[in-house]
Amino acid sequence: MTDSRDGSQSAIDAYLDDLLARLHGPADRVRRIVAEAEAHLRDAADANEAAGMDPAAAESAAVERFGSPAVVASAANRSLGAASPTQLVTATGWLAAKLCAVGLVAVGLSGPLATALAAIAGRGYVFGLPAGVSMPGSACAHWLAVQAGASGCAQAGMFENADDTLGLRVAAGVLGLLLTGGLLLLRRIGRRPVDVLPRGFGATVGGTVFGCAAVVLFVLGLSDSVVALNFGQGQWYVDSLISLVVSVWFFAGLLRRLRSPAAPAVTALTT
Amino acid sequence: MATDRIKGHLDLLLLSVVQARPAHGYEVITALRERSGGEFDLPEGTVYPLLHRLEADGLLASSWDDSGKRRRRVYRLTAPGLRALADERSSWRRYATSVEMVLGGAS
Repeated sequence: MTDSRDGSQSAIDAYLDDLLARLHGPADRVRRIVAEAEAHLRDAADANEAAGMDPAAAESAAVERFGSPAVVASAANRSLGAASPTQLVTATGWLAAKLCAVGLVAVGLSGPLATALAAIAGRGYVFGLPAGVSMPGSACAHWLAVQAGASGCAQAGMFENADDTLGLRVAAGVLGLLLTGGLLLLRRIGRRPVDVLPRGFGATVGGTVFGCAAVVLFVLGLSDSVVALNFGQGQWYVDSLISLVVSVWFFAGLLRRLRSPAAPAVTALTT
Repeated sequence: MATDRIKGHLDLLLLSVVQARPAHGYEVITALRERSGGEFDLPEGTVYPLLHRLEADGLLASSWDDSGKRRRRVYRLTAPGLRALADERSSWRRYATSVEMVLGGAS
């Protein structure tokens, strides 16, 4: 290992250590990748020095041009065809976090959309209590206490539901945006885990989950018009519509990836 | 943008670079960048897995070269690689000609 004069690790050595920690596969093939990477980086650093850079800057520039360890390891691991249990768990966790973020943002969007629908179709259609269902007295007392302008229990419940729907869902949306920002930040600073999941797996899971949710929510909306399961059926339809849009978005992304002329060669570059 | 566009054609480009003469990874990537006038500027480390795949497909062969300042893996084109390059090159030229005909017809 080559260390700089002040005792700190050189940029190339630090990079190779990071890369090695992210690679997984047969030892001989991992060793070959690291050996080729080291020869490449030192050749590039030599060329940079010959062009007038100081040694430290030459190494840093060589490392930068090589690509982040996460990107290179992801490409290499695909060619190695292997993934460690830890890599599988972290990649699955990353995907789950992405789906949660999308789901929370979708919930956030559904609040204002439900409110907009209520302005058009009536608050009773979207937020109203089930017809013919008597609410517990304690619930009515609470609603009437917090919705002073309501004329009765049913209207107070509807107002309260409208307020909660908007407020809580927008809060979920803000949480989703914060989670999205966190994931983007981790990606930007190279802390994204190595993507060892099959190509298009995340889009397939996302499209399927949200597509199923859209169908279930739509059926619940239809059922609600018959048996009055919950507050106004308009909410079910809004949720179903949002889920459908998210599902289509995921499947469109999947189609774009599958139709990409880059097919196998590009996989390594797009992770 | 140019880098995005080449992603589907990297096999052709890499085989073409190695056809000129056997080369190690750094030379291949440098040649790719220089011969494209700097347009094709990829994260260099991601090219190695592609070279490995081309080797696994039998289109390239490689061996260690210990003769220089440091040990390097040198890649060379195989006979199947030469045939694949000819096919890909022909296919690309037909495609490029077709695109040019459409673009020219639109002007």
